[in-house]
Amino acid sequence: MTAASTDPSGVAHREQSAPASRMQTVTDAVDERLGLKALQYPVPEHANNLGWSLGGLTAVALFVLIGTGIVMSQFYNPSPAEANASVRNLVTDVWGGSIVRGVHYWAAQAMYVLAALHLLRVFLTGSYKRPREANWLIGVTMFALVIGAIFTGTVLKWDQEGFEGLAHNLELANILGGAGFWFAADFAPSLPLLPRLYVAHVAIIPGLILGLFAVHGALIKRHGISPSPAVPDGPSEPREPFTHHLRRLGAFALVLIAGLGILAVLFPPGVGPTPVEGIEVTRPPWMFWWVFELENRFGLDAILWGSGALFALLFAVPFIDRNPRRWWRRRPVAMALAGLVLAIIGLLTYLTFTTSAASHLG
Amino acid sequence: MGNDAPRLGPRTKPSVLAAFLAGLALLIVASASPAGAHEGEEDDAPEGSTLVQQAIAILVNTPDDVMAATDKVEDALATSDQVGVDVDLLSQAADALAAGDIHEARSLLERSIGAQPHLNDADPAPIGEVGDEVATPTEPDSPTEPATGADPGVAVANDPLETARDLNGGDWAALAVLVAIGAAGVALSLRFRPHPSSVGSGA
Repeated sequence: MTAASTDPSGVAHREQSAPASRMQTVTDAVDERLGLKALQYPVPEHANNLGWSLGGLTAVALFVLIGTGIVMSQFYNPSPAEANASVRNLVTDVWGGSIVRGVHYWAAQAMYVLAALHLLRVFLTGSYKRPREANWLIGVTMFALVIGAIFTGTVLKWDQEGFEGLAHNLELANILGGAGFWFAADFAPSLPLLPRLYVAHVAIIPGLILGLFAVHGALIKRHGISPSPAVPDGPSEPREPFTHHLRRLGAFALVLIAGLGILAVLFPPGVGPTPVEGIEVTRPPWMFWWVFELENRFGLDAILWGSGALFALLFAVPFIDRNPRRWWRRRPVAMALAGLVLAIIGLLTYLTFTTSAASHLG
Repeated sequence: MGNDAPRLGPRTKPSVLAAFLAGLALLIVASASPAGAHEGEEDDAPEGSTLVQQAIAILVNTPDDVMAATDKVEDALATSDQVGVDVDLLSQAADALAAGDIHEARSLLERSIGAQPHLNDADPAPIGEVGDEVATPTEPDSPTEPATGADPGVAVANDPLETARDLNGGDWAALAVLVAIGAAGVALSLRFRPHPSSVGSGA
């Protein structure tokens, strides 16, 4: 049993009402060696809100993806002739394989949504403003890497949808010229592109995300949790140990993981037909629909300038928005622009949703 | 550039801006032309066997789009490069398509390029591994040649794997455990929620 109290400095504690338990003894022994109690540094109470936990939940989704990905990689064959069949084998012949793949699939969707919501929360609360500009840039880079992970993961199942995604990848590499060398088949002509994308999916992209995640966390520790514009008197806001933030994040994580598992059981992702070159009959995953619509209307290079414009804008946000205010109602220009961008993306996404994939054939 | 070209300077900033916008508009208009969409199509006539593979893939991915598959079959019949294709079977496939018999058309198309006709939903049909009872096309592709670059591999499109199914006992047990985990998470998140002094909602 625990009881809550608050000391004069505002740090809330939950005290043990019973003598030190065995668990406490173990905790003390571990702390003596690993210094875990260093995590009990004070953070403002609002850090425990769901809005300030979205970044942590994104990390939870990443760890779920890594865990399920490790299992899936034991059964995946990154050879073009075998890749699709190996995914089918995982789903149909491996015990629990369907659920593991389903959790992986839904965790990828969740990670994208959570990262986008985290980005939106940071924007709405002005948390990217001085001195946190660098962390915004790192966050936007991580978001781009998440999209890259979803793209490569889509290709890996090596069905028609994935293969058409790869075909777009190759065409974009041609448009980029030398800058797109890594994505071009000519870079390593004796190898299929598939194992190269597999390495990107399981090593390069997650490695970069984890490295940036470490820097992201270190900068949050350095600058502190960003103040909430909804708390008028930030400095006097009560503090709680960071471990309490982790504790609530763990509770949210249980909900997230349960939701992913339920989705995996009820709505397991299918596997498309083995791919054939030279046709275009599928739509990409929903998060790419807005650039897909741009391509339909303006051609392939619209994918480049559309996504390039969005990310250029995202990277420029801290340098464009010099308004010191953080409360969204006091930032009408920033809010209007953000609303316009979201409306355009939403409209393009809706247009793709209501269009038959077959009508996209040129 | 001739002498009539406008001089760029501080006083001509609106002109520079106008020229930039005009150029941008031209770029957008040019790229919006039909020719700009879905680039990468090759000028050379594709091989007949490739066209047959594409027709099969269209039937598998978009079975309602018989017209697109028919176009591919007609192109395959018309092309001069019919190496690896049994033209008689291809003609029969065209007739089956015209009669609306998709299954027969697909089977004939697969046999026309030496692929094992699809027997189940799991295995792609490897090309060049037909049984004796099936007519063998001339010079089929080698099934042992490794794929490189963006080569999709030697196989004919198979059926999609549908994973939706009725729930079994194990599924219900898993759902029960997951619901319990989710409920525990909700309960714990409420128990650990911030004190009322924190009014920030994240928005």
